Amino acid sequence: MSETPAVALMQVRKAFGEKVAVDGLDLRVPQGSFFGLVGPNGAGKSTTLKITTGLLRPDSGSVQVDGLNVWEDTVEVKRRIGVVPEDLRLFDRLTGKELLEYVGLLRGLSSAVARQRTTELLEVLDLGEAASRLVVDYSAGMRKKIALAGAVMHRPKVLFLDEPFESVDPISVQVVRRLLERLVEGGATVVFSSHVMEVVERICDYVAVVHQGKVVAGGPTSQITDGRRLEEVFVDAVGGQTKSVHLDWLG
Amino acid sequence: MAKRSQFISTGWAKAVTWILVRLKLRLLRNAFRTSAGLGLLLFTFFAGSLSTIATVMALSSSLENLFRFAPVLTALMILGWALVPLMFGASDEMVDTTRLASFPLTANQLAPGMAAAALVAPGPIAAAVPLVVLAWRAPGVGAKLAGFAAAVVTLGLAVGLSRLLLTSLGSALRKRRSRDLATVIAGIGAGVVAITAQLTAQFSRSSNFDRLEPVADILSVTPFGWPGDALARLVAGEIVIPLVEIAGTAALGGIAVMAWIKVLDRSLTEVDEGPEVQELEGHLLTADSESSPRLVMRAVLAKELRYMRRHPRYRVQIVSQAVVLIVGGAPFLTAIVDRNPSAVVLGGLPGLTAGVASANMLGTDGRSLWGEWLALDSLLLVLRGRALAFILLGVSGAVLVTLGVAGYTGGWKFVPAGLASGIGFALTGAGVGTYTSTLAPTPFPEEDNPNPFATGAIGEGCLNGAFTIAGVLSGLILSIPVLAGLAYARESAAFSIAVTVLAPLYGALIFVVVSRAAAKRADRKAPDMITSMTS
Repeated sequence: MSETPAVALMQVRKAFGEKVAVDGLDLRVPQGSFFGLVGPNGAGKSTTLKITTGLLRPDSGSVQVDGLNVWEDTVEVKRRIGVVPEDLRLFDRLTGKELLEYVGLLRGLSSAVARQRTTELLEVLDLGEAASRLVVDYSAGMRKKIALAGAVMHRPKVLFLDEPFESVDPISVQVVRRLLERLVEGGATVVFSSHVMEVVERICDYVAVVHQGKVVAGGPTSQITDGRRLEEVFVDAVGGQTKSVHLDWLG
Repeated sequence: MAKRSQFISTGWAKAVTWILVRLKLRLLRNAFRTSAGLGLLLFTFFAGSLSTIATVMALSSSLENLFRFAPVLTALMILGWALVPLMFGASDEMVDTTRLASFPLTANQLAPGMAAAALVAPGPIAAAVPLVVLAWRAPGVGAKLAGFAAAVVTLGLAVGLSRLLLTSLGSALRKRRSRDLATVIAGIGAGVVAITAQLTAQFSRSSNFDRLEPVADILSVTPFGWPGDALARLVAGEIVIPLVEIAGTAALGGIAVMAWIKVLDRSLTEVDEGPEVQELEGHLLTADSESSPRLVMRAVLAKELRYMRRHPRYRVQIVSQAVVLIVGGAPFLTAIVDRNPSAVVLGGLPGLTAGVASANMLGTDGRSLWGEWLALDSLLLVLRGRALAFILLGVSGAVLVTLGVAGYTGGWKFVPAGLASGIGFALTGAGVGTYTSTLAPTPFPEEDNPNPFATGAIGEGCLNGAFTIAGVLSGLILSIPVLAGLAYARESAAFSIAVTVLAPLYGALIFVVVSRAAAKRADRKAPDMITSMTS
């Protein structure tokens, strides 16, 4: 494995008014790894991913992707990465086929290459029959898959995915997983956030637990879990406790 | 990694421009596969009609009239282009930079393509035709070319200013510190457009536009009127002053574009709206068996008023529409122009337009409508509670205009009729609004949208605008009895008393009947509406 990490965040901080979303976060993602970012709602995962992908400027700290400073070489970094954000704003009045072709063109691929990869990706992700339907008419799972297809079209060196398995059916999860594994086998790095501990535990070789804008536990998955389930490690790390319920009116 | 040969290395910015233009063409074409296509068709018809009128005037006006007409034309074009999208959700999804932010493109590379894409639409084409016709009327090849340059800089300034405003105000609305300033700017802008448009209509009544001259004289010395004045002068055979005016407009357009690129660059790295907007989402009613209809309606009204005050985009829309209905209405201008005391009887008209502003009340909630639908047996209370907020807005506007016009003209004896009709108009307008809102609710532009001025799709804003206009017309038709009474009230005290007593009752009757019909339709169609707003 190369010494230059795929992603390196040092003392990154981001606040929205008085709310601190990311609070001096440090993170190193090894090249060629399958990296899972887990944490409770509002922990700062999505904000961290946006900062790392050049979509949100941090208040302070340093962010590097593939050895490049994200905020000095933003365009070059964006050229090397793929992103599937959580909020998934797409040009959804295009058909699936049109959307992928335009993504390819805007990524600098030639028309022929964009068309060829579009056909292949639609087929692999089981979207072939929906290719000529408007994306606005897609289900949530199909939107995730078309966004993923757009994010991998240019063979990114690092792929960032925010909750990629949310709303995706189990069969599609397998398809997506195989596609991501194929990408990692080819030397790319995949970083994704998720609430689904089982998926993270099963497919990630590295994991980081984010809580209140900081990494509270991180490292190789086997080392972090140490024979326990990831969910237990997660609850321990974030200090989760079940609150007693007094809602008598519920019956 | 992909080989470098797969990437287009030369003329990348040009290639991006062409890609974005093709993208816009596809989006326009695909709009016809959705309900937004109807909006686009209606807008095309509307823009085409205005363009035809302007083109006929450009072709047939005498030289003297051209000096009155052309500066007003370019000023309205530039100001309307820049400011109207602030009042309605009438921009398109290409305003939203988040869809383009993840691509390896700088603001400098994106801007030409986004500007070119903004010109690929029925509106810009309709705007270009009368300008080109004017240029064609200039004598000689040199003057014609200068005329075409004037047309180009007009469109350039319109696009540059429009994108600068939409992008910068869009960013400002997302920050608590600058939100108020953005709202004030939008309100002032709406007032400028309303007054200019209304004064133009007022002064265009005479066949030779001689009453338009003072407006044209003022606009000719502003950058918005420069290209129009240049076109008129070119047709008259002048060359030096027109060239200076064209250069001035071009320089201003250039400054607007450069400022836009700077703001665009910033917006590409600020795609997160932060946590404070999220607080506004979700206002579900609880399915509490002890809730009385009065409590539910009060809760809905309170929510709507909070929404109007706190929701950044909604606030801009409400403020700018309020400004338009107060300063842009017939009574205000009649009072200014003619100082006629009987103008006070029309002081209640803003109530009607404010009421009709509720025409997309279900769209402003977007997908959260499902909560209200599940919680209640009928959406009647939701529709009425929300309509009450618009009635309050309309009555406030009517009071302001009635008293303002009475103070200016001295027509105090008409105040009771003006105020009472204002209440009646607001009730009628809100009744119509409740029904219109069930026809084709369009999701509010920014419910989860980092650019509050970008609609979900091209044509949605047009569709919403078309239904609003249809609502205003329906409201006017339903208000004919009150309007007729007001016409007689100017001369007769008996009619004045009758209107004062009957107008609110008539409005209440319309509101009750129409809102009940609206609720019936909403209850039946709610699943479809929720689906259309969720997708």
